[in-house]
Amino acid sequence: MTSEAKPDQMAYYDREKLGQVDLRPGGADWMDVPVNMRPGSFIYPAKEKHLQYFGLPNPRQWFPTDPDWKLPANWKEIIIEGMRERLSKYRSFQVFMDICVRCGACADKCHFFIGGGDPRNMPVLRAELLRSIYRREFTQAGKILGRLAGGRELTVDVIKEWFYYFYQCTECRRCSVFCPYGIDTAEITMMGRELLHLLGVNVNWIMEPVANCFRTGNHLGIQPHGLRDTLDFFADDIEEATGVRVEAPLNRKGAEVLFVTPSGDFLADPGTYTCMGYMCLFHEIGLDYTFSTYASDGGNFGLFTSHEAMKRLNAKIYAEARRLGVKWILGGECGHMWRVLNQYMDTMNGPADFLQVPTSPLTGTRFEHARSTKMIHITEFTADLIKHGKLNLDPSQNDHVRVTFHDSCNPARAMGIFEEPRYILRSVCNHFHEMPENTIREKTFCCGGGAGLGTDENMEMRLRGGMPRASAVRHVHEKHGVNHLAAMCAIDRATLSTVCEYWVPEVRVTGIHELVTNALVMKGQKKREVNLRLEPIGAQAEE
Amino acid sequence: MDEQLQAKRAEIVRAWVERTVEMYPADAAKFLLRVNDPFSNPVGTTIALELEFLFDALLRDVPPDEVVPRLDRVIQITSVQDVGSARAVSFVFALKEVIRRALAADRADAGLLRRCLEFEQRIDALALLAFDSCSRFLQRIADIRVREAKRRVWSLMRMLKVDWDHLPAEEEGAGG
Ligand code: SF4
Ligand code: SF4
Repeated sequence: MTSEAKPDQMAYYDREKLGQVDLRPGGADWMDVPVNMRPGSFIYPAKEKHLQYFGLPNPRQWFPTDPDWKLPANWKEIIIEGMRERLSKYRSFQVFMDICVRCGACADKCHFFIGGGDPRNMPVLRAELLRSIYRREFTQAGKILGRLAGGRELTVDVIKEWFYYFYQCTECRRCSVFCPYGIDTAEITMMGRELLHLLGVNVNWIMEPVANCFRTGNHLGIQPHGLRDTLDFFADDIEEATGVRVEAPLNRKGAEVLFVTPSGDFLADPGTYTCMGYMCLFHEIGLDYTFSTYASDGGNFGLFTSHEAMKRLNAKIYAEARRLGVKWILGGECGHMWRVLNQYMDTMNGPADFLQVPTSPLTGTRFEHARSTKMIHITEFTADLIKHGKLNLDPSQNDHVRVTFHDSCNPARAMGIFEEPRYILRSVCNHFHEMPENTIREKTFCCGGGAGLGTDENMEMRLRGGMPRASAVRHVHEKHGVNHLAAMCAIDRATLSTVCEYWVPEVRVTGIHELVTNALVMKGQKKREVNLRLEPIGAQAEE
Repeated sequence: MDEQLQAKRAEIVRAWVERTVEMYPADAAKFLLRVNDPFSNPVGTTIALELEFLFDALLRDVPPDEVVPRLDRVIQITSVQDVGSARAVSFVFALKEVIRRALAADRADAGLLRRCLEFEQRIDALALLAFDSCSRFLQRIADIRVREAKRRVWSLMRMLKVDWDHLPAEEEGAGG
């Protein structure tokens, strides 16, 4: 093209570069492209006081965009030793480091890659961030051949990259479903985060809840009298909606069942309505139960921290069950609580021999699969009640609701609980529609905010990561007029509300037991005109 | 002009889509262009579908109220890519170069440039709508931030009888 071209000549426009912004890394090997810390994608570091409270190393002030992260002088040694220790302690870690054949089956299965397009969010590459160091430091080939064998040197930039990308993984395990070898990238992320913790590199959104939970019994730091007030306040709202006064027993010794739910249900909209839902259900069936202040969180942000932190937080629930003298534990609509329970609890703190196998006092069903942990999921409990005709339900009270179901990653992939929530939804709503097959059940897409990523400084990243889920929601909204998205996880209820507001504002998020109670015909209730949100229900709402 | 563009429609749309996904790193662009399932690849398939619609809309010179909802689908994606608003709307301008390339062989045609400039006025109008759309989505993100913070402490604020009214309300239509 000629440089003399004028705006009225064709050649001029051929050179037009407006809008032609090249973001390509130029085909360079990923190892050579340094991490670009984009605000909106990273999470703020943990405050010193929280690390001190939990006794974690290197509390200090720092920020991800600072050149100097104030790492301990011997940081490299700490990481290598930390890896060595974990390779010998966790066989899965060793195996996952060795067996990936880089087939690429997992590459395009991560919601952060699908919605955001950063290649280092391909699970295979995310794992490679750690694996490349493993090869260099722990394999003969890597020690000798270095780069040729896929190894690379451990530098401060590698630590920064780990921080950036291991906190862009929600540990959702969708990728592992597609891996022919069953490599679980979430476990690799967990190892990466554990190693970062050794250097004091962690995020506030996780460490504050962990410290809170250790101190007050829940992530949000709600104190006992605050919880009492909250539950009484819910009882007032329930009475206004239904005309029935329900109790919310707290720390009651000798109750048959300890009920544990994520603390988001006490404080955050729309989880609070789900909590009201549990309270109504338990009242209606006359369950002998209690909430606890010391075990006032089913969530366990220790899972997103380290195995040790997870164990300490999980142990509290069992200590409380022992103190209160209950027979078994019922868990609310939480996501990662069930991963901890199903995959780690027994090894960490089990078996809970001092408790009894959960048995429904209404139907007599013994939940044998929970023989060791003595804890069952509330959808198992409620589905069993419905199956035995123990609930008086009027689904027409939910006729304004056209609902779809989001399988929360952990109950779905760590627990395989697919049918119970669907069975309940079909029993309490007349309009239920599934999202496309490759976005539900074990292939479900993450909300984009799990594993301690649900904060607001990384909002854009969460919206990108939530986009695959939202696309499927939009599809059923357009096709079937779906206006509610049900989810049985507190993080989902919080973060999917945001995802929907951005991508599909016509759809709002609800818990399952909110819908159960809205369809529940309670003894002594007044004519139901409003739901738990105090909004008109059924046919009136559709007008 | 319109006939010339119509004749090259497929080629132009394909090139425009390719230019648009260049916003992403090369490895991602490959995936975005290759995978056809709308749920496995919502970004790539949305861009392909909507750019095709937008190109046809430009040819037919359809009114903005038909164009905006479809344009929104693309801008909604580009607005959360952390690339800034200029890059978020840059794909509209890219169409100019795509068209000029596609018509390069017809240079001898004396009236082409004039007609080309005329068509580009439609592209410019689309670009203005794109800026508009982008600022709407950025505003939506800002509002969502506030609402999310509000939801997090919902029961506490209600117990304290805090008045929310000065905070952004839910969008029209939200909540079905
Ligand atoms: S699917 Fe499994 S083996 Fe294939 S690249 Fe991914 S982690 Fe490696
Ligand atoms: S576990 Fe989930 S977030 Fe992490 S890499 Fe796999 S798909 Fe992505």
